[in-house]
Amino acid sequence: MPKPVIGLIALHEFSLEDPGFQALEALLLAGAVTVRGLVLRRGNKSALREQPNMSLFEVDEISAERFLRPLDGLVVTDKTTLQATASAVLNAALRRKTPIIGRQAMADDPAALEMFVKSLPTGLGGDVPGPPGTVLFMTSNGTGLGHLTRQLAIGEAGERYHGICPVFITMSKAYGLVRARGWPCEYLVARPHSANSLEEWNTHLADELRGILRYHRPSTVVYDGNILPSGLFKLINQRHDVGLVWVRRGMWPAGAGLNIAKTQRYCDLLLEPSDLAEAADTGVTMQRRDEMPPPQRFEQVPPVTIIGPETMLDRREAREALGIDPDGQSILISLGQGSEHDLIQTIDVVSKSLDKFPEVKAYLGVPPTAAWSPNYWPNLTALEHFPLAQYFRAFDTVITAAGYNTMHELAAARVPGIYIPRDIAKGDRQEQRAAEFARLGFGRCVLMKDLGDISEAIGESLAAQSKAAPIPNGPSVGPAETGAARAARLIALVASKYATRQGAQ
Amino acid sequence: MIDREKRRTEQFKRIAQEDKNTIEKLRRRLRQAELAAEQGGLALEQTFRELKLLQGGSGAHATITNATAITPRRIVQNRLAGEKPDSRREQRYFLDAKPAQPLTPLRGHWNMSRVSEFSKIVAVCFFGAEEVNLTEVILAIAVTHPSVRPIFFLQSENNQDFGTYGHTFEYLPAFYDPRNTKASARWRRYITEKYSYLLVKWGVEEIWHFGASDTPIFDL
Repeated sequence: MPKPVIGLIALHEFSLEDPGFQALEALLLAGAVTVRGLVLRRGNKSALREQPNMSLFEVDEISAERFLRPLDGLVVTDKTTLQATASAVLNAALRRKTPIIGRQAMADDPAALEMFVKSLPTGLGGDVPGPPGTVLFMTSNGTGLGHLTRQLAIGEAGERYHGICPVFITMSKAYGLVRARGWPCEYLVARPHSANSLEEWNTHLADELRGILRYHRPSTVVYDGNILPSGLFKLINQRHDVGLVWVRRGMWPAGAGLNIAKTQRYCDLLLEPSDLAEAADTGVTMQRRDEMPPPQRFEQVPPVTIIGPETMLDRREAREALGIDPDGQSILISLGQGSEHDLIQTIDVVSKSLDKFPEVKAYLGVPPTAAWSPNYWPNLTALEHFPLAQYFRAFDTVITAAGYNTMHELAAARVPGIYIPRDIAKGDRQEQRAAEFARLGFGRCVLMKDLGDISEAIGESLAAQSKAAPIPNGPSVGPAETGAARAARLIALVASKYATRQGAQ
Repeated sequence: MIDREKRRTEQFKRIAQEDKNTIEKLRRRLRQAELAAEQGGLALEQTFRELKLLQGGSGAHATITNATAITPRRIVQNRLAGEKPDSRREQRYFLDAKPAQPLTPLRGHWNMSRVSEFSKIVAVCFFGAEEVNLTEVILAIAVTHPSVRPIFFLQSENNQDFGTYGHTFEYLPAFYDPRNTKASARWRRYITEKYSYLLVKWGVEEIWHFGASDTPIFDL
C-alpha cells in the first residue's frame, strides 16, 4: 500500500517539541507516512532535514499550489495560521479540499492524527484506482523522431491497458505521423524555429500551453525531451490539478544538464527508459536521478520502443512485403535525421562502399520529415514506412546512427547493426552507446573518422549475422510488461490521482 | 574524399538548379503581373492568380487581408459573435493571453540577406488549400516580395518545404480527432481563438489567404 503524503507547515512559531509534530514524527519513524514540509526559517529546515521520508521546501522556492499538489492531507501543528504565508497555503488547501487536521484536535486526542492518516484516500501505488482521464504527451523537437516515437509508444500502451485518453502536443514536424495513427495532435513551434531568445520563446510557450490545457483539460502532462522548458514547468507549478511527468533517457554528455536537479523537482514522476548501454553512462542523469524529494519519485522502466519483438514481421513476412528474394542478402541504411550536410555525405560514402557487394540488395530508410530526396542514390531502394522497425528482420544488417530508439529496436529484432555514431545530438552520447552495444555483441561500431573502412564492417556483419545476442527482457515479455506499458502504468497512477482531484471540484 | 565532395557539390547544384527551373517557369508565367506585384497591395492577389498557383480547387482563391484593418482580436470577436459558450469554463482559451513582445519567424534561406528585423510580418494561410503547390508559393513570395518575413499557417501534414526553405510555420488542424472529421462547436471556438492568438504571437501585420477559407474552420 502506498504511504499517505502529509504536508507540514513549519514557520516562525514552529517547535520540534510541539505534540502535533511529535505525533507526526512517530508515524514518520514508523514508516507510515511521507512528509512534505514547508519551512520559513532555515534553522527549522536543518533540524527537520534529519528525518527520513521527508522533503523540505523553503517558501521562496515553491508556490502554495505546487506544495499542495501531491498531498493527501495537511497537518497544522502550531500557530502558523496567523502568518500570511501559512494563510495562503491554508486557503489554497481549502479551495482544493485537502483534508486538514488542526492543533486542537491533536491536543484533545493523541490518537487523532493516526486516525486521520488512516482515513486518507491515497492515489499512488497498487492498481490504478480510477480513470486517469486525458493525458497530454508533449515532446520537444529533437534531432530525429526519438522523443515522439517514445511518447507514441507510451500513449498507445496507456490507452490500451490503463484507459488513458492520449493527446499529443509536439514540436516535431512529424505531427502527421501521430494523426495518421488516429490520435489528436497539435504542433508547437520549437525555439530554433523562431528568431528569439529562449526566455522570449518560453513566455509564449506558457501562454499557448495555458490555452491548450484549458481546452484538453488533462489530468497530467508527460514531457519527453532533454530540457524541461521553463514555460511548461512554471505553468504547471501554478496548478494543483495537473500532474507533471518527465520522460528522460540517459546517456548525456559531460557538462550537459547541470540544472536538471532543480527542474526535475517540479515533476511528480521522473521516468527513465533504461538503456542497454547503461554501463557506459556517466552523464548527469545517472548522478541526479535519485534526487527526487518524496513523494515525487524516480522510476526506471525497461527500454521503451514503439514496436516489440512480438509485433515485428518475421524474416519471411517482411521479405515478402518488401519483395526481397528470400534467399538473397539485403542491407538497410537507416541514418535517421540530423544535419543535412553530414547525412548526405554519410549516405554517399556508405552507398559507394556497397559497390563492393553487388549481390546485396540495399535499401535506404527515408524518415517522414526528410528534407532530402532518396533519388540522389539510384543504387538504393527507398523505404518510407513508420515504424521502420516493423521490417528490420527482412535485413541481414542494418546500418544506422546510434540513437536510442533504433538501437533498441534493432536489439529487439535481433538483427546485427553497424552503428555510425553521430555527434549531432548535444544531449546524447551516441559514441558511447554504439561502443557498448558493440561490446555486448549486438553489432559493430564504425566511427565517422573511419567511415572509409565501412565495407570491412559490412563484410564481417554479413558473414556473422546469426550471432546477435538476445536483449535482456527478450521476446518472452508479454505486451503488457514492455517498457512502454510499464511507463504508461506509472503515468496512469499519477494521472488518476489528479483526475480524482479534478472530479472533486 | 575529393570524389565525395565533388558528388555532394553536384547534388547541391542539382537542388539549386531545380529551384531555378521552378522560378524560371514562374517568371515566364508572371509577365506583367510580376511588375504590378512589386508595387505591393492588392496587386499581389492578381499576381498569384496569374501564376495559377491555385489549380483545380473549385472554391480556391487567393485574398489579402490587411491585418491593421481587421485586427486578430476583431477576427475572433466577429467569429464568436452569436455563438454562446457551453459554460463559463469554456469562455476563453487564449483571449486573456498578454504576450509582451511578439516572436519573430525565421527569415528563410532564399532572401536571408534581404530580410531585416524591420521586415513586414505576413501570415500566409493555406486553409482548405490542399491543391496548392507549396514550393511554388514559397518561391513566388521570395521572388516577388523579397523583404517580407512570412509565417505560414497550414492544416496539412505536408510541411517539408518550410524546413527546406528555412521558414517557420504553424499547424492548425481543422478538426480535433483525425478519426472524426466533423469539427465540434467547442473545437471551432478553440481553434479560432488559437488562430487569433498565433497572429498576435507572431506580430502579424498582414494576412494572405490561399485556399477555400479565410479561417482555419470550415466544413469538409
